[in-house]
Amino acid sequence: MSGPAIFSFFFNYGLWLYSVTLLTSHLLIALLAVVEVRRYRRSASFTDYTILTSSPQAPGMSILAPAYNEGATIVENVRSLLSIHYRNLEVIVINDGSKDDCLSKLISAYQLRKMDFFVTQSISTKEIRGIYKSSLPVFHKLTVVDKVNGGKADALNVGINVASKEYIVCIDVDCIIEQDALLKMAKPFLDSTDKRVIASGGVVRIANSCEIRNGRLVKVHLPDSFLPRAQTLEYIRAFLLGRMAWSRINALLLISGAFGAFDKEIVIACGGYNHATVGEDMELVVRMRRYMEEKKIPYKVTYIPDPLCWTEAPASYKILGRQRNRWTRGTIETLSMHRKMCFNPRYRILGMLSYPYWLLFELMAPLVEFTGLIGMLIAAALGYINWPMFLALLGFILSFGILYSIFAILMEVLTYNQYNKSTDILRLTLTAILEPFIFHPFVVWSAIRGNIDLLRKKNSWGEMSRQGFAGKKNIAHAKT
Amino acid sequence: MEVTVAMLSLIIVFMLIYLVRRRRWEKKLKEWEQQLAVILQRTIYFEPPENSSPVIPLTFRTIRLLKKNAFRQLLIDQMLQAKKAFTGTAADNLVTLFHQLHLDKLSLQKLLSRKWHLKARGIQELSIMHQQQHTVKIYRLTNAQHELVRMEAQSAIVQLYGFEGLRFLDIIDRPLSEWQQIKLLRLLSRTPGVLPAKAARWLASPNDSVQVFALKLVAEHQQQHLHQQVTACLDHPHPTVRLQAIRCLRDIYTDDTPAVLEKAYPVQPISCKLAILEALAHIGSDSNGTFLTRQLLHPDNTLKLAAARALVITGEKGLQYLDEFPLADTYPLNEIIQQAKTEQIV
Repeated sequence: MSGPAIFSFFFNYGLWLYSVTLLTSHLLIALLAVVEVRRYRRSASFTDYTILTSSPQAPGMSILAPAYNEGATIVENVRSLLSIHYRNLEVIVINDGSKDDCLSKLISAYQLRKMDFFVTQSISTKEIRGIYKSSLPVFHKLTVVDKVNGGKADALNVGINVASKEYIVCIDVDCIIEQDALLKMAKPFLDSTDKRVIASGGVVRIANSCEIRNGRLVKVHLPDSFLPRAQTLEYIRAFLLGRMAWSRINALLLISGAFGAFDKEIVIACGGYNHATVGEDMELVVRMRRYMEEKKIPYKVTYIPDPLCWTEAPASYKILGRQRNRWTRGTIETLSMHRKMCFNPRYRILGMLSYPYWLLFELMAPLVEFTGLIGMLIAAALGYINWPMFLALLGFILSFGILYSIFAILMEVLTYNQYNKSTDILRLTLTAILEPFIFHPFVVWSAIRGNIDLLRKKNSWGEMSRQGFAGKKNIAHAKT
Repeated sequence: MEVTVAMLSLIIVFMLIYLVRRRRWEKKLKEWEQQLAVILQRTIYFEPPENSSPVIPLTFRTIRLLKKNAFRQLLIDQMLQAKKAFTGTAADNLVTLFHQLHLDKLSLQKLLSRKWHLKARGIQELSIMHQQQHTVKIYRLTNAQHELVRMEAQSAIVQLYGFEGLRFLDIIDRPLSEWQQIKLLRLLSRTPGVLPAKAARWLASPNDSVQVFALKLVAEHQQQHLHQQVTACLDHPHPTVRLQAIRCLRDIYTDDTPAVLEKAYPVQPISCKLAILEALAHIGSDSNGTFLTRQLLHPDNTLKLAAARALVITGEKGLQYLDEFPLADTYPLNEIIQQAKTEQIV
């Protein structure tokens, strides 16, 4: 065989094998997700979560909310957090050296005063300038920490050092948390008898176009514009199918930074959040799991399919591109830091399945897709393409992608049914058909740019400008 | 490609059919809810005759609707909700209706099902409706393999028999989850009666989770006479049991408790040490001053802070210990002591 023929052979069969494995894994994910969501919902129908609201035995939870230049909405956001239904709770807001009036607004709204507070440096962090508590008993759950700017990971680590409860709940301060979210989040930690639950995640949903009043979500609407709507579909797919399936086999690698609960003791034992990556949420979960595997302690990472947290999705291509670029860099950095686990039987399912899946199908998928496109263009130019075969395969891949999305919509309709108007379901279905042609290529391109930026050693978070739920523009965490 | 397109079409058609059927179901549900409200209202306000067995009057329409499985299940669900909310005659009337319509047989069928969620649902329905005649079947499931079935059976027995129902603690060899313990404690807090004498036996149970639960019961019901048995739990090999024993001793303390805790302190892990210092903050006195002052030298700052807090809380003598401590002006003790003092003022 000649050189080009060998190349063509490996290119064609390599891509074919890759695609078959990817599609098979998607089928398995869908199947496992159905099993897990059904089990969870049946079990939840017997659960009276309110028993935790009055029980003195309810485990302590510390909400950690890092804030950077959130002055426009911080007072409302904190009020929303303080109204969460949970008895044994503290809310720790970490002002990460904001340049705006974030701290002064908090001081004046909650009548805060500086306290003598000794912080155990369980995790090394940047300097704390002061710790504030409210002089009003009604806000006794609130602690505000003012610190030198160090980025989200550093802010969360300060929060971990200050937290006094057994479990920490890390959130994005601009997210809207459901009132009963902590009651639901606490349950997996209390349920397990044979394994230690080290982390638990909740489903994050898109809040664009939803009705928000006084920091609470009062009515769910499907986003009006295409981009947030495509992300709504993407989140349903990722959370209701992907994460539930991985959770079923205890192989979950990622808990969203927007809303996740962790066992504080294990977080501290692992050294807290890592500043050296922009994907600190994924890196922490991977490190915690790795720690438990190495110590040979039986453990679990759980996920709850209930919509517990609502966030604003990027509404412009520019911001979405930055977000996806950062996610790609975070994934590469995390997988690179823990490469020792790859196909390492010592780490059991983590090393033999989760890690390789992320490497091959989350990280490499955009690269393979992009390379495939370039290869196809070259082959077309050289006249190597069997067009009928190519078009049939392309049609199969596209229809499979749409099928997977439609299946996710079906799951949503059969379970939580947040978008209960028939027109909303129709619009979501249309989005699923359009997504492979508009949204997906952009996401792939952003991931490619993420790879390039990482090679160029660009490690910024990127400015994440948001409209804000009240329609005001604000700038979220943007530390480099 | 044809296969995926066919599947795609199938899912879309299924979704459409489902949406249409659900819309119809919601409409029907609204109609039925009115009917159900009438049935419940009549049942709750029904005055039973004194000389004959009560029969709740039902309309012809209700009897016709009761032939539908979905309607019967809706009625059961609503009756369960109402039963939780009412007591006295209203609750008795609901049980009467449950029997009159033979709904107990439906619940029993569920209990005997091989599907765990049906089994658990059956147990729940029978216990809320106080169907004690099925106790034996439910009791057998208190140590069932499926966690949810087991939990529902245990809750049911407690719901039916109160504290006496806790006898399943003698036989279970599977663990009681923390969630289940919270649930049982809540059920018992609403039940009249006293903790049975055999609680002492549970404190020595071979099942660690039963021991932990017994310690919680002893603390909640202030069983001071079990102080010695609780103290014995401080030697348990499992730190979770020891931690609960410390918390329990804090709640049922006697004059000897601080000395017992001080004695147990050296061999404990950090979590138990911390719990002992927190307990001493509540029950300690000046006589623990020397012990607490020694803990200010412990390398773990959390323990230092807990010891300082305890000293501040024990009163003036404790404050004096802190002020006279040789390293009180050096970091980190100066900040720790300052925080402990500030917290007390706030």
